[in-house]
Formats: sequence, structure tokens, C-alpha cells
Amino acid sequence: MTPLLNIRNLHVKIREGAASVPILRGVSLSLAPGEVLGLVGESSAGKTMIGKATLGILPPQAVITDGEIFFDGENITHISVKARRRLLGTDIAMIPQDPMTSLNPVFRIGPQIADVLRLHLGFRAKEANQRVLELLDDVHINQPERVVKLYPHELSGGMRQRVLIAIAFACRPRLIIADEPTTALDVTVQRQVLRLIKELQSALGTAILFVTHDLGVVAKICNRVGVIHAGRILELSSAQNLFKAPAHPYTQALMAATPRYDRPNNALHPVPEALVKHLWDDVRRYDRGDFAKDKSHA
Amino acid sequence: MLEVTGLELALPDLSAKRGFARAPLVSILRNLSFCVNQGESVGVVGQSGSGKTSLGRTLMRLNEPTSGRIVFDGVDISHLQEAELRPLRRRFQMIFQDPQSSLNPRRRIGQSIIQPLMAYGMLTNPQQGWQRSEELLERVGLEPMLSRRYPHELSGGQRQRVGIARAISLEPEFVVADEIVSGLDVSSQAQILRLLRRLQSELGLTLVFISHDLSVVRAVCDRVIVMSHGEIVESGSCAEVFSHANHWYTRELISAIPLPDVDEKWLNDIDAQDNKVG
Amino acid sequence: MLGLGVFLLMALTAMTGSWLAPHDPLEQDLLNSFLPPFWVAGADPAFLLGTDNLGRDVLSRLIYGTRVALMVAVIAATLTGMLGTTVGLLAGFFGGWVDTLVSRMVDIWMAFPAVLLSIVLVAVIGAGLHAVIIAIIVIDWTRFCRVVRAETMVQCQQDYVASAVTIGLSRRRRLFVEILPNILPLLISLLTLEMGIAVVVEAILSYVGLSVASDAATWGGLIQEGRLYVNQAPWLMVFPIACIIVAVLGFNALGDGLRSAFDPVLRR
Repeated sequence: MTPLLNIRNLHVKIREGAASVPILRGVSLSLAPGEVLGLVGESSAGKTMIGKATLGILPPQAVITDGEIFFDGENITHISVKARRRLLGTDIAMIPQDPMTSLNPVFRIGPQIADVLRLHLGFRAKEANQRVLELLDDVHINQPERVVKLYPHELSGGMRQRVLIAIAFACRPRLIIADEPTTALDVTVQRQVLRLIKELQSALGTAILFVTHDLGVVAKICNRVGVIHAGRILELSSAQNLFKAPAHPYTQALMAATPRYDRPNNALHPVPEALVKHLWDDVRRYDRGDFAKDKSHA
Repeated sequence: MLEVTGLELALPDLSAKRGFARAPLVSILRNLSFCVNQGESVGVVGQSGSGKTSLGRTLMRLNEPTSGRIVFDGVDISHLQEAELRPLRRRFQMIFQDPQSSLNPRRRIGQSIIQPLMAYGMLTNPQQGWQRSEELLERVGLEPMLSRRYPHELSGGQRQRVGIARAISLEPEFVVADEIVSGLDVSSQAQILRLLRRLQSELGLTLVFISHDLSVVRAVCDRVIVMSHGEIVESGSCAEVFSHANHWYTRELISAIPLPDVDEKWLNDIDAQDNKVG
Repeated sequence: MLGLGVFLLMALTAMTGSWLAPHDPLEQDLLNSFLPPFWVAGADPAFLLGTDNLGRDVLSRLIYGTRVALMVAVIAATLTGMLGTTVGLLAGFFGGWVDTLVSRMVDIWMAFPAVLLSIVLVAVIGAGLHAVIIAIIVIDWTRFCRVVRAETMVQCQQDYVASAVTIGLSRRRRLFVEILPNILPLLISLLTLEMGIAVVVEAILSYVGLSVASDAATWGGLIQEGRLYVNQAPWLMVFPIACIIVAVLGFNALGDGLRSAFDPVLRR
């Protein structure tokens, strides 16, 4: 089966004044239809950038310097704005991190979802409104007729995240990029939202690229997991293997540093400094090699 | 060391204020009673809106309780005036959630750290001040030269260490730590928790550790208090509460934590009924 | 930088005015009335920017006007700022009845039309520079008060203020050592904005003849005099208006510049 999403040797740099800092260093991954791939790493490891590059919404200072992104066999690395707009929303959707700022505070919930349907699927107003109610029912919101008339601030964080999930799944996309979708939520709500994502994902056969810093969340929802450090994927394997027998020392260290309520002393083992130093030495060596390669090309 | 009986807190709800009328009161903490023994570390856990942060701030007397008593080392501090509290304040300190906002953004790190010492007249000349701040920075595992920097120039983990250095500068006996690792990556989180444990044993601190993360509480606390809607639903030793909790709320809270193990059942264990909201 | 340049230029002009001005601003020369500025045919190079209906040198009058404008700007803005900031800080910090009292007073104050109030005030106190300054203070302290009160309230919610309580700082220290430095950047912006406003208010009051003695040169007075001859000698009005615009823009630019130069948070 051809992969739905295929990223090959992706390099992204961020310009800072005259210099440019690498943020992704040769990331390669592929995602089969209906698969959930988790990307875990600490902050500024570059995990969010992979999702943004796929969606084509990199910040203006960031440039793809090398590598390709294929969606369903088509190279979407540098496609036109128009072509990308056709893709986003219909074939590729996203669930953002912050349910607070991702909904427009001055519009009611119903019209915000209906807009997506009318824009991407050409629904007429009446059909769209009907479909909105079905979608809200799909994400298990009671009394959708009442909820469509509310403003975002009148909903709880969990409800808002459900609305965003409804918007993401509205056009039955084949791929969803979920960037820390449950980080802002309380644990009990997080569990419900994770379950909801999993339920819709298996019902519709959607593939999800799930970006998070939380190893626990990844373990519960993903089929395969990639561990990222400094813009490189250090280990990529099935969730079963990764959590049972992590191969890379960094993965092992992350697991040892993650607090667990069933193991009282787990959270007291930081990633060893020697390991961190070793990893960064590697990165620096890689950057030099990369630079030399650039030169030899030129 | 600390004894809390029947603590209640109600604050005016400004969003419900209409015109010139007085804002109606909303009850934040309801009838809390517990005690914290010398040298012990007690975790306070709960979801957002449970009142755990308000509890911490009330123990520090940043809020005045509506009723009930807070007895610190034999002294009832619940209704003391600012001036009467002042000599006591150096014995109980707080580490704030976000050191970015608890450190004055327009002051150098070193100045912030020794500020408490200056306020209590325990430092006289500025030269001594820099030296003292550098010692404190080293004590929390930071480079002494950071004392000349501004807060925004530091990483999150470093800033939190500065927050700790400042809190221990007065050598307090009792410390409230409010969500001090919630914004951090797991590796800096582990470093901070380790540091806290070390300082606790070195200085004989009594600690109240407020967190939404039960797993973190498990790592640093002897006992745990579970809060919901301003009330204590359960308390007990960590070992006991985490292995067999009595209250259904505690059990639900614990089972909702995703452990880093693959477990297909975990997501399906929620009742379909429970998963309906609105 | 630009702002600083304009400000220094104004200060320099004001201080060295009597030496810098080519003529006595009051010296009349009816034979040389309505001379155009130097680039127009028929101009006398001795009168660079031309002369008015009484043959007085426009450039010299502008230079003397700068002194009045700058004095009003600096003195009025500073005093206004001090009054408004003090009241605003207290209201924001203590809240409760202090805040209610101050807020209501500000509301009532702002319900008066400002220009009318200032004209009435000056009419009561009597014309003159000090009256203009008092009028500006009385009217504009509310502008500082409102903004400073709101900002103080925001700052009081910040953890660093709570943390100042726990480390035993007194109320006075908290207010002046912790909160005040954090609203300073805002104050600088407000202050320079206020300087611009003061220049305009002074011009308005001169225009209606309620500023300094009517024969003394002020920018507003020049506009008012020039208005009568706008068809014959448009430069009489254009130059003072240009001065006011440059001064106001300069003050605003000065505010932005000072803020980015002195704020460690912005400077990162």
C-alpha cells in the first residue's frame, strides 16, 4: 500500500538575522492510511514544525531547505497557495492545541462550523446547518441545537476542543495533524477527548499525525511512535516495541524521567547530562556534514 | 507545624457585579481541615477550579480567610494584619507557578534573589548582596554569573530555580510550592523535583506541594490531599491513596492518568454514557 | 532617535532663542510688510521666512514661540503626569472605596467638554502662561489616571506582586519599588503624548487669545494672526502649523524611542 503521507529527508531552517538555525535535520517518516503516528519530544525539539511543514503553515522566518513531502503520491512541498487551499480542510485538517484562541470569540459556534462546510464542500446554508447538528452529535455534545447558539467563551475547555474536533472531521479528511490537542485539558477531560478522537479516527479510517510532549498520551492512542530530539527522529517504531523495549538511550532516559503514580521514584531521574552532551555533539557533527554537503553541491 | 481548621474562603465575583451594587461572593474553599507536620511534604491535587491554588495563597495569607483558623507554629495567622504578619512571613515562603511572572521582569536576577534579605534588613552593603545571591544560585545548581541577567534571558527551568533560590533565601521553615513544574519538560521537571527533595532534607523544610499532576505528587510527597470544588474529598499517605483510593473521585482521577504503557483497554474503559457532555 | 533629534532641536532653539533670532520678534517695519519666504521672488534674504502685516520677522516670531510651546509641553505634561499617576496608582493599588471615589470623579470630569472647560478656566484665572498650564493639568490628569489605574490593577494580579507580599515588602515598597517601575514604560509613552497635546492646547488657547500677552509670539497666536491674511500671505499660517505638527510628531517619536531604549523587556 502506498503511504498516505511520506516525508523524505526534510530540512527546515529558521532565519535569525543573518544566520539561519536548523530546526529540522533530515526528518523522514511515512504514514499509512488510517494509521496514528505519534511524535514525542521536549519543547523546541521541532515536533510541531513537522506538522506545520506538512500543512504548509510554517512561520515566515522558517524555510524548507531540503527534502520533500508527499501526500497521496503528490509532492506538496512547494505547491501553490491555491492548490494548498484545496487540500487543506478537505483532505488534510488539523486539531490545534489551544481551544481558547482557535475559535473566533465574536461568532457563535454553529456558524463557525457551517462556514467550513460551505467553503470546502459547497453546502448551502440550510444543509450546512443540518450537518452541523449531526457533527456536534458525532462528537457527543448533548443538545446540539442549544450549543450552536453559544459563543466560544460560554463553553468549557473540553467542549471547545470537541467543537474543534468536529470542525477537523467535518470534511472527512484523510489526514489530520493534531498538535498537542489535549495539553490544556484536565486529565479526566483529556481521557474523554482522546477516546473521542480514537473513535472518530477508527470509524472514518483517518490517519493522524499526533504531536505531543506526553509519553503517556502517545502510548494510549498511537500505533507507531517517533522520538524527536533537536530536529532529528532518534527512534521510530511501533508503540508496542517502543514502550516495552526502548532502543535509543534518549528514549530510555525520557521514560525514566516521566513521573508515574505507580512508581514513586520515577520522576527523579533527569536525562543524564552526559547523554545530552553526546546528543548535541552528534547534532553539531551532523550540521557540519550538512554544511559540507551543501558546499559540494554548489 | 501547620494546622488548618474549618477554613472557608469566599471572594467577590466581579464578573457578576452589576452597576454600583456590591459584587456577590462566590465560595472558593469550603470547610477545609488538615494539618501538616514538621518536615513533612504534603501534596494537594485537584483539577482546574478545585481551589488548590486559592488554598496555597490563603495559607500564605495573600487572601484573608472568610472563616476558620490557620495556625502556624502555634500562632493563629488567619486574621493578622499586615504589620503583625511581617515578622512571621520570613518563616513561610512560596514558590510560584510561573517564575516568569513572579520575578519582576525589570530587575536583575541577583537583585530579585536578595530582595527578601534586604527587606528584612539581613544585608547591609550591596557587595555582600551580589556575593550572597551568587551563593544562593550555586545552591540551586545555577551558574553564579546568572545573577546579572534579566528573567527573560533564562530558560524556564533556570527561572524556576531562581524562584526557589529566592524562596529559600530567608531560610524559611515552611514552603508552599504552587504548580512549580507544570510548564517544564520532563527532564527539567525531574531536575527541579530532585532539587526540591535535596533542599527539603538539607534545610528540614516542611512542604505543601500543589499540583494537578498526581504522578509528580507521587514522586515528592509523603501524604496527599485530593480536592474537588473547594472541598477535600480524600487525604492519606501517598502509598495508600495511590494504590487503593477510597473515594470514587480519586479513583477516577487516578485512572484518567495516561501511564506510558500501551494499554488498548484504557480508552475503552470509560462508560459511553459518561462520555456525553453538554 | 528622530524624536530625540526634534526634542533637542526645540530645546536648543528655546534656550538660545534671543541670540538665534535674526530680528526682534516685536520689531515692526511697515515698509517691509508681507514679504514672502526666501525662495519666492521679491523676498528679502534678511527675512528668511518673510514678514507679517506689521513687517515683523516670521522666523524670529516662530523661534520665540518655540520657547513658550516647549515650556508648556514640559511643565504641563510633567505636572499632569504626576497628579494623574499618583491618583491612578492609589486607586488601582488600594481598590475599594478609594477606587470607587476616583473612578466616579474621573467619569464626571470626562463628561465636560475639554476645550470649553479650559477656556472657562483660563477666563476665570486670567490669561497667561501659568493659566494655560493649570488648565491643561486640571483637564488632562484624568487621561493619566484612567490608564495608570487600569495598568496598576493588571500588575497587582501578577505573581511578582504576590511574591513581594510573601517576602515581606511593605505596601509603600510594593507600590513604588515593584509596581511603579513596571508601569514606567507606559508612563513615558503617556508623558510624551501629553507633551504633544499640551502644545496643541496652548495653540488653541493662544488662538482664542487666552494664552500669554497677546503681543508675545506664540504658535497659536501666529496662526490666529495669519488667518486674517491667508489669501495674501499663506506662509503666515503654514509655518506655525508646520511647527506644531513637527513638534507633536517629534514628541510621539521621542516616547517610542525612550521606551525601547530603557525597557529591558523590550530590549531583548
